[in-house]
Amino acid sequence: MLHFSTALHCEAQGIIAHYDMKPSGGHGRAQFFEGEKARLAITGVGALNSAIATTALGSKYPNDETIWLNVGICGHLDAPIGNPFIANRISSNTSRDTLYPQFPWKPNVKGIELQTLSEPSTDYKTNQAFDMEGFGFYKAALAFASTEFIHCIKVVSDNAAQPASSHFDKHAIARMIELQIPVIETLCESIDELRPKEPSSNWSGSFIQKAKAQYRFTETETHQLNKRVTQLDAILQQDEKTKTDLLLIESSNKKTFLSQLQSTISQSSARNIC
Amino acid sequence: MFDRIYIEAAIREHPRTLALLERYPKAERVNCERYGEIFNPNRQNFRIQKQNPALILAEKRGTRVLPTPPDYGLGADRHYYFSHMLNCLYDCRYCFLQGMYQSANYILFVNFENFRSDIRTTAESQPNKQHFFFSGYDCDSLAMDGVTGFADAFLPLFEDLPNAWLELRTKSVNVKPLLNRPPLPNVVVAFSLNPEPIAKSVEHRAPPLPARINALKKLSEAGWKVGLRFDPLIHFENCIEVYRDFIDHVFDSIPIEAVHSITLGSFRSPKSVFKKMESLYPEEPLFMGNLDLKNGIVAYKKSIESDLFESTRKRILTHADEDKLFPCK
Repeated sequence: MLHFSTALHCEAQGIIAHYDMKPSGGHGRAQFFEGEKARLAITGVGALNSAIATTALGSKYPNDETIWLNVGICGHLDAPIGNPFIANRISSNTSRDTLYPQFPWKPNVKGIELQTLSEPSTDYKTNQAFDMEGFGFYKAALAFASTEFIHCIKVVSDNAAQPASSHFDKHAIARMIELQIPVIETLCESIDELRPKEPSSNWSGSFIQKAKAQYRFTETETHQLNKRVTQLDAILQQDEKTKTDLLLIESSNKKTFLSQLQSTISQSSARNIC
Repeated sequence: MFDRIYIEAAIREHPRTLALLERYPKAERVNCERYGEIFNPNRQNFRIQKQNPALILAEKRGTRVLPTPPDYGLGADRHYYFSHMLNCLYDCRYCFLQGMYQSANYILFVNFENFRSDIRTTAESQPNKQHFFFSGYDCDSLAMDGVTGFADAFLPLFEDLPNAWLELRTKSVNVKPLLNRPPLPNVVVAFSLNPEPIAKSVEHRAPPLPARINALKKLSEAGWKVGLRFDPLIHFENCIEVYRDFIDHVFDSIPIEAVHSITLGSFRSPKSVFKKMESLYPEEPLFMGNLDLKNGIVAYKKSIESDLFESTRKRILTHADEDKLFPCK
């Protein structure tokens, strides 16, 4: 699942259309949109608004396998308008912290240091992009994902030759972001490929259910059960799993059952190490 | 080799930094104040970063040469370790580094001159004592030598310090920097070895066992003292027989006169480190069975551990004198 955060509706509209998202409520002034593969929060301008809406989106839809992307416009000294960047260092004029998104792959977008400001600025600096949300978004998203899965994609909307003004062209911004959707998709594919592949067996879930139907486990025992069955799922062949099902019938009580699971793990792991 | 290089402010103009940046012109450069900003935060995934680690160039401040824990000695009067790098090119599943650090990025401390000066001061402070310095605790000493130039930077120091010993602990077969120079009597090139089935299935990205044995042979033929590090011993089906044949094979391949020391230790890990390794690799059989927690250390169950350890120890003693063997328990 992708979780997007944008400050403005014009930044969001291409993404909403591309991922076929529909309105799905909101939080305060933030609006949420949801589709089959992606959700999006229009947060409003500023790091605090971005942090609040990001936290609300993450809390409403908890999911360990989400990719978090802040997509929006930025200012840059001399990069051409419409140029995309991915933040490799994120600082703020209101915090001493600096954040370093991690890229264990070669990104298809050039990296840049992003400084999040509390006010718009035309005081452009070399090798640095300005925005108003990235830092707040990133700090908030770290509550829901590790740093490899949280990124800020920024598209240059103003530079020293064409500085920002108080009235910006919403259509132009919408178009700029829309043009970057293929870049965003490639990026998300690269990020997704990093994730370790989980074993796709249904055995563990159904075995745990059967065990729970047979015995009343305490919290500690439930934890033991889940861990042991997951481990067995990873190391046993299908025919061995069928044999393990018999433990439920053969065990006289839950303590014996749990200890037999552990014995099976010990025997099988020694066989599976190499 | 690196897609991204982080550069700490204090060493931005250090000659080793400049040389490395010149060598990797395509790598994206990111400035930072202190390496800890990148290396230490929580919410990083070591397993994922290990797929393509970045290089962090930093300055090692504070204490650079540290005493080893009491049981980790090789018979000298004093034993120390120092780490010019954190993290390793290889991805051995039993390695404590993956459970100890938040990040899999490589840190290279470029201020070698400060390490050298601290080693010299330590050795010269007690000239009548023998001082042993281990270099491969938080990294493999030689695996990234092509990048770091570690051997060429540190070996001349030991030429000049007769009461100091250096251990290069490695799985790397890149031994050219050593073969290109005369052997030093106070340097031990110690190879971590495990039987081929373990090397193949657990020591990911490390050179295969025959290549390591070949490197050991070349070094011993060139007159270098070598070390054999059978640590960690791994328990698996038929492991006692496999280790027996493996020990015979290693000693049949290398002249015993070249062997300076042998260490032996079973797989063990502090609880917190083990928990993190286990959570990173929940499907890894190495972390699943036959283990017990005792005094904060996760290790094999007593009977399993002592059977494997004792049988291997006895086999080693059929090839080598006991004074060369240093068991780690």
